[in-house]
Amino acid sequence: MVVEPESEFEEGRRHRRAVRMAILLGIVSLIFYVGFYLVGAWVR
Amino acid sequence: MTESVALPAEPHHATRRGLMRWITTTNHKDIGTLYLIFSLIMFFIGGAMAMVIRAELYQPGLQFVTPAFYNQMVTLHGLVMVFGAVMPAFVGLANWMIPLMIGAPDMALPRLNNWSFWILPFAFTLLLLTLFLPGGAPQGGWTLYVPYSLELGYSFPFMIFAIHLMGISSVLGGINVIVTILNMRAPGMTLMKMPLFVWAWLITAYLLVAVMPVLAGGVTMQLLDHYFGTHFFSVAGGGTPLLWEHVFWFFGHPEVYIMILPAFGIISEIVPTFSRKPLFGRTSMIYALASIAFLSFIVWGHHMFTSGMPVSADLFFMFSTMLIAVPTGVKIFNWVATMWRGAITFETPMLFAVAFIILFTIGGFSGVMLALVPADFQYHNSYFVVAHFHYVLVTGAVFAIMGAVYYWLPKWTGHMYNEFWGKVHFWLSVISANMLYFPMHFLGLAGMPRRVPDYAVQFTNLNMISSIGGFIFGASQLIFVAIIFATVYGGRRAEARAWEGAHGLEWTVPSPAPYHTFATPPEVPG
Repeated sequence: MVVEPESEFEEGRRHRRAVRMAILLGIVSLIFYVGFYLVGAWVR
Repeated sequence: MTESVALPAEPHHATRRGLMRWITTTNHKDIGTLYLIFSLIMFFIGGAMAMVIRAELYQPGLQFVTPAFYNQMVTLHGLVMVFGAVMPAFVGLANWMIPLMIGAPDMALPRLNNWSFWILPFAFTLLLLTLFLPGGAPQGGWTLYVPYSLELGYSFPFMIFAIHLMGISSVLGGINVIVTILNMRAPGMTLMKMPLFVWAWLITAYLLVAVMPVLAGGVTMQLLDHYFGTHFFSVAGGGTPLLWEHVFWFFGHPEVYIMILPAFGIISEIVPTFSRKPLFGRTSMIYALASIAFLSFIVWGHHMFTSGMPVSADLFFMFSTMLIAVPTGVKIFNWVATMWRGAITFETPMLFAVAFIILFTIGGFSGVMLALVPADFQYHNSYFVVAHFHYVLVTGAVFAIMGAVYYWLPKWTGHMYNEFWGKVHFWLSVISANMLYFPMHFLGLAGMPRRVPDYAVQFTNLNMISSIGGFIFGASQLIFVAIIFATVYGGRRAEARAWEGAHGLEWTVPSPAPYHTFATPPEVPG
């Protein structure tokens, strides 16, 4: 199998997908942060 | 759109020199090296604190330090080893090896990677500075239990801010690992073809993203209780200290697996290489990793059996904890089955891997004993617990890290380490670590409580043996550092495939690995 170098277009698309995924995971971690704080407040 | 374009010529060295290279670097190998050096320094700082603890416990009575300073040493030793030594070591290994193993040119988010690392030195400077504050460092143990934690003086905000910084660093590092693995794999590198170390790290990274914010949320509540008049945990205002234990251990138990899953990945790389056989039950190993990660979220209560939970909760946590023995047993069985009838040789990485399998299993067995509610009522808060988690974390996680360093050192430096001295380091470490931790089982069963600077005279002999083991273990690690230095600056040239039985993309690039690798995606065999 011959592997071609990635085009700039493909590379850019892959990078944008990585950034989107990272932002999503960041939001998930923030939800855990705020969520556990709120759970603590509710249990309290 | 599959047209091929000429890639710009990449310089095969760093573009900056001196200190600025390391401060501004976005190269995964540089950042991996930074993490590993940081971890080694923290390992020695945390180790020096352990030496203070063992010196004080060498004999009954107070010899060298005050009880308050002893408690500070216990607390900082735990925080430094968990967050400063073991976790950064695994992140360093991930940074170095994941892009090489999946055929990626770098981590997906290199600047975030730089930031994740450089937060850490500031976090630990803040934490260690508390030693010089009036009242000294935190004294409540690494679990930051209230009310002790809320009664701290000047050290409290330093500790809380340091923990927030460590958490941010870990979450960003975890996010980077996930997006790198999911977006940057070479063509043909399907998820099920990924090396076990990469799989272990993918699962670990999800754990990091899920539970580090829980710790952050908890310490924010402590901060609010301390400075802003809330009463989450303060009984005087109607709060409940038990809430902290639930929040902390909801983070704390997955944290234990954050420190051991990458070790499982390392052992799954080393054992097949030196057995010259493919890993036995590869798919089941991946499912076992995922099962352990899932179960880690529903077992936190086993740290709190004596806190007065309802019996139904005790039973739930007892059974869910014992379930973990199943996927862990699958892993142990598969490593042994991989070695079965293999053409095994015992170079230093393999010695550490075999020691891991035996000694981690001892830690696992004492873990199953602690999972039994009626038995735990006897063992709780005793040295038996200290023996258990040191078998898991030192002869488990730390031995795996040492094995990984010996295994990949030829790839990092381009030189083979000195096998004789590697074996000297191994045998001294394995004998002294057992001398250090095994007597703690007997001490705990005989009733010696943990976190005490003084003890009854009948515990003297076993404590002396333990302390002597501790001093030898600490001193042996100087050999480790000497071997690393000697390998960086000299030694026999390493080939690209440093180990005859090694397979995987990382062994297809020259040793030492060039500054930039896989600018063109490699070919992954079908």
